[in-house]
Amino acid sequence: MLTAILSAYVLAPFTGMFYRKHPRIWGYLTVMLAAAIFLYLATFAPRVLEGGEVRFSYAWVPQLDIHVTFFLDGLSLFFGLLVSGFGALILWYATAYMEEAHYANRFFTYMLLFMASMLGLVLADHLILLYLFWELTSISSFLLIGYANREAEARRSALQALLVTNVGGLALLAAFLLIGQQWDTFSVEALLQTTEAAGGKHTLAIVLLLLLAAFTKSAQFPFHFWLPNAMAAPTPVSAYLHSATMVKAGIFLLFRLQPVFGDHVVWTWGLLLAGSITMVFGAVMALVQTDLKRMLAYLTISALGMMVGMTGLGTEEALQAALVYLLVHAFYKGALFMVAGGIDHQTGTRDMRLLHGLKQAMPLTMAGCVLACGSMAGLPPFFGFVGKEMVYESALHGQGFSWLLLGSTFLSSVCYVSLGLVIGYRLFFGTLTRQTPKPPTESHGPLWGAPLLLGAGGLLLGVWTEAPAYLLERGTQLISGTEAGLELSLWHGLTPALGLSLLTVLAGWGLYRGRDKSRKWLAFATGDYTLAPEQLYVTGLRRLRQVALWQTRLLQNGYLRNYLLVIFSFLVLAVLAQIIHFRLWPQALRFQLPVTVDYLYEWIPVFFMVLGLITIFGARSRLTILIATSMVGFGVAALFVFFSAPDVSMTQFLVETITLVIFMLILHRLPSHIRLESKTKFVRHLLVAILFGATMTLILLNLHGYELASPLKEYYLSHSEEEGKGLNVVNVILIDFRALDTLGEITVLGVTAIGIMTLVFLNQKK
Amino acid sequence: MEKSIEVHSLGTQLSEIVESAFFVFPEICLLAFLLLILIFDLIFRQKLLWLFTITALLGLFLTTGLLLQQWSLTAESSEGLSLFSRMIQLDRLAIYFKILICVSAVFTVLISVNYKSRAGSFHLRSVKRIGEYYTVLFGLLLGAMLLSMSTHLLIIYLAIELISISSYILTNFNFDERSTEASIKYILYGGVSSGVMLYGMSLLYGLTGTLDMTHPSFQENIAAAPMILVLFAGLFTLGGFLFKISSAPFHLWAPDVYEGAPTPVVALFSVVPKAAGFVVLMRYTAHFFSQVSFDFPWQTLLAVIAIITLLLGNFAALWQKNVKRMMAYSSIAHSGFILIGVLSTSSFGMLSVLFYVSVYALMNLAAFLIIIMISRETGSEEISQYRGLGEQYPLIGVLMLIAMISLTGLPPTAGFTAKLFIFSSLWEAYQSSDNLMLLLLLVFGLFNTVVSLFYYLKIPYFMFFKKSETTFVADRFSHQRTGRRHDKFYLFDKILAIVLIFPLLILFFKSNWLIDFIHTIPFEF
Repeated sequence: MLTAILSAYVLAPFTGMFYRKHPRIWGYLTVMLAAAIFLYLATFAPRVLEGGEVRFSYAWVPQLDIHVTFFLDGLSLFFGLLVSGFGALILWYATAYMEEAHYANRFFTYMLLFMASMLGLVLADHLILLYLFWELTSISSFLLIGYANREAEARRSALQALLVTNVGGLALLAAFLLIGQQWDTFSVEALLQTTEAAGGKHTLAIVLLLLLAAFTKSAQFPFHFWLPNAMAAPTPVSAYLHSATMVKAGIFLLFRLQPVFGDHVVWTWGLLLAGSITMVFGAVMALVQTDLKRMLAYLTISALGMMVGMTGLGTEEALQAALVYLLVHAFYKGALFMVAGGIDHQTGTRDMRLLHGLKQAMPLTMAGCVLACGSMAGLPPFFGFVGKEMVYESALHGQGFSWLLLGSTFLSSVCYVSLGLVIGYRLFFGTLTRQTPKPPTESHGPLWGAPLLLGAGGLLLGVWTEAPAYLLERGTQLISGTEAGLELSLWHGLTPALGLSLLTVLAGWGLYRGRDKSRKWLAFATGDYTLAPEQLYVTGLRRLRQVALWQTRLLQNGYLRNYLLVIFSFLVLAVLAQIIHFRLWPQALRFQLPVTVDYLYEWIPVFFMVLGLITIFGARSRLTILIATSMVGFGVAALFVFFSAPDVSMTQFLVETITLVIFMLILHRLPSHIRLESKTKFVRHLLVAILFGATMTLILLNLHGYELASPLKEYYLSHSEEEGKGLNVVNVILIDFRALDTLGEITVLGVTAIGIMTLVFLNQKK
Repeated sequence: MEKSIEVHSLGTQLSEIVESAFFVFPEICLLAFLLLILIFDLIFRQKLLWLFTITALLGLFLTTGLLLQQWSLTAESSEGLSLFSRMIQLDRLAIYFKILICVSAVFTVLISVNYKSRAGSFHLRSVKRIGEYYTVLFGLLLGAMLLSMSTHLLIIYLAIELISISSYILTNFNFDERSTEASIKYILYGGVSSGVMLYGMSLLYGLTGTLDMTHPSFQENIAAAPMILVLFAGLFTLGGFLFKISSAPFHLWAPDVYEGAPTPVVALFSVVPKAAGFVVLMRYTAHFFSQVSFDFPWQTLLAVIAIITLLLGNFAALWQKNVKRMMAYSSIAHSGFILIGVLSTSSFGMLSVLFYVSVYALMNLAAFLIIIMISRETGSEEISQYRGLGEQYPLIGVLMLIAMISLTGLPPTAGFTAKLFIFSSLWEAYQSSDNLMLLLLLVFGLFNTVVSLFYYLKIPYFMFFKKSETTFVADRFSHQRTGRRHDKFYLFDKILAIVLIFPLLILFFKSNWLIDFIHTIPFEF
């Protein structure tokens, strides 16, 4: 299984590299690969559809117990077949469609990447692995939407799709992590087998996050806006990603986790509401569109809404309907997108106002299109009819607020019928268009072949309902968590659903007849509103950048003094936070050693220090400030002399002197002007300075009362006389106990002096 | 408080020094080559320039060889050796980082070979200061290797200063205004950080009477000391380490220095001092933070620092137009990620730190190499100059793409695996402690991964999706006229880039190869 997925990843870069030399060979190679994967998966069908499961486990980082595990059951097999089967078909279509395109090699590379990621997504057993593939599909979709990279519009749409789906991706990861904590497993299989009810403390958060993930991926309102914009991608991409596979990933997630969360009230209501709104919204928006592909995109949104809503209903019947409709939708929407691509390819436009009467020019394309539209409109004997009937049935039988779903399904179905007529009838019948950029001619090979195949498939499945029933039965059982069988048939007898279907078709025909009027009205009603969620996205993005800019300007403005400000503020804040956290108020401090001043002259250094400080505040030139600062330093040094620490004092004097000398040397290279530009800045600096000083004072005061541990002190005091033969302990330490240290100190000072001398002379030479 | 002091006679001390010297052969070797290059510089001044590079490489290879030998000689579970009267701790953790440092240095030297600064003032093939360059570089390495082994505060300080002073000098090696400004800022900023750290260390010494973090009396006295003093001392000391790993709020030097310094030096800065800084931070966490007896919320503190670092780094990077400045913020953000591993304080956390640092070294070196190659081609370090390069030079484009994907932390690169480990270790830490701040950190970490997507992918985006500018097209035409193929990249550089990028892919699929190595390092938790 790993080989199957990896093979697509491996083939991808090679296709990218060599496609240009032999486009045919490499193009068909990709088709063959997809078909091979399809067949490989199909070999598991008998075993899996009987209710079995297949697991594939590979060690990745065995030391940390990280394994790559795939597992195949009825649901994942169905999706796997869908992905690989459609993949093969669309790659085949693309070999013709992309023939003259630039960078067709990249297209095939990205398509393979996407297909592999999508396969991984549906087959992954480990939740984190699933998340990974989920993100990979987002990224490959980004690449595909941005395929026409010379166009700003395509780039913008690509980024939009990536961002929106990525938000969902993050939500998904968060949800999975919470699931991991609550159920203590990351395995999908184990999760499904868990008997524990979804009643843990994180369940609500998990459900909300999962909904966010599914809604962004499956373009549910209000996250739908990226999907119509994603139509900037080449048509095969739209047909594959944005109708059959990627947007279905969200639905897949819902299906997969339905047995676990299906009973949660937020889950059912969230799905029901979002599904209903999206369904109607998408269908109505589709009516207003003039671009064929955008129209199809909104129809996709609407159909996805239907599946989401059905899942939300949660009855066995509804879940069956959802899965069946997914297959229905994949067939007709894939075909329609390919038709749209074929028309675009042959006429050079997708504008519905310019296109009509293509019957003579493109009869084969028409055949595929009409078949697909029949399925979309839900006419018998198409598979669409079967699906539509099931949806109606389950909505009719549902409890509680299922009338909401019924209403919205009816409304959107009316629109489907009307649009089916627009696309399937008006596009081809009537007078031949003369306004297209290229005179319409019949497309060749796969361009009509692939949609015709899908359209005919829709018809075939409608007639031979045993086939889809066999394929989907196990899947629906897994979704609903029951053992109920799936029965599909065209004729259910005279049921209310049948009447509803009839009504739908009639209303749809009526809407089609009055389409010009209704469109005007709808266009007016939906005009500004449609952009609202998108506007929010744009504004949000801009704000984010503004915050980033503001933050950078504030903290990283290139002035050294601000950098220092940041450091000192941080230290003060951190210390303050600790003090507050631990309630270390001054009563916890110890002032045990009173400072006594015996003689008046001991105040002299203090006087000089204060004088220096005052000077600093008033000073305007660097020289004055330097001298004033040294005055403080020398004052401290002098204090040490009075408090019997001559060695410390000596060091302090030396350091002060050296600093002063070095400063003097570079002083004349610096500008003399040093005033801060504004009062507020001055106050800010002063504040931080005072706070920092206060903090340090606090520390020192506290330290003062604490007897510092120093076994050395006692050692020196007791051994100084007998071993050093001296009563002055400091002297003995310096010249006896630590003689080598003193030697080192002298050497260092000497070296420093030489260094300074060099600097001085260097200066003179210049 | 009465402690007996062991006073050794000079003789025993000297003999211990001599004995210990056997265990620092790699460092001695490095020092010997430093001196050798210094002497060469005096003899062959401005002549035989290749000789310096060869010697430097030889020295580094020899040191790496000795380190590998050290690795094979140390037992897997041994606690390590205390050398020079407990001044230095030689264990597998230290050796691993020393190997990492040396290998990074080898690549730095190789990267430097074809580097040429904007004004052409720094070019190893012609510059007369090549001897000085390697001397200072070796000084930095020596400091970093020392730092990875030190558990003694004095040695930590000395090693950090050795790294810092070498760094200040290296920053100025472009010898232009920008470079000088960066260097001065670095010095002043570094001075303040060192001062703060030294203050903290002196307090620690005052409280415990020893500078040796592994000494039992250090830990006993820390436990006994008043809380507020321990807090101050711990916090201030931490400041110095944060400076070295360029973590908030001590990160502000990084963008200026990265922009001003020569690019190979920047590549080195982003890896070697940082790696060394993280070892010492890990040791500090193990010996100091974990030992404080009272309820010191150091994990929360580090989590807050990590969050701020992530946010500042990533958000500032969004706006950068200069690729080196962007990489500076990126390296700040990565520090935030590695900090996550450090604060997890489990052996899994340490493992993820080691893995992350190793992968980070690879991808950063690779990214900087490609930046050097491209800036030589376009004469600029602006991201906007990357337009259309991917189409012209697919190989370089793809390599850069992989490097950037790895930096973002997406599959199929080792960057992803590293992030996965880091986040898993954080998750474990959260589950065992239930500290809400850790959950917040996880959320911010993931959020920042997405933010980083923007600026990392901006580069491949420019390379592949944007059209090249007119000036560039003209340039291409002029080459067509002269009939030369327009590819100024050296084959050497290309091979080097592939050598650096390839492991990023390998380590994704076979991360257990590296994990096997790291697993043999005994951690102290």
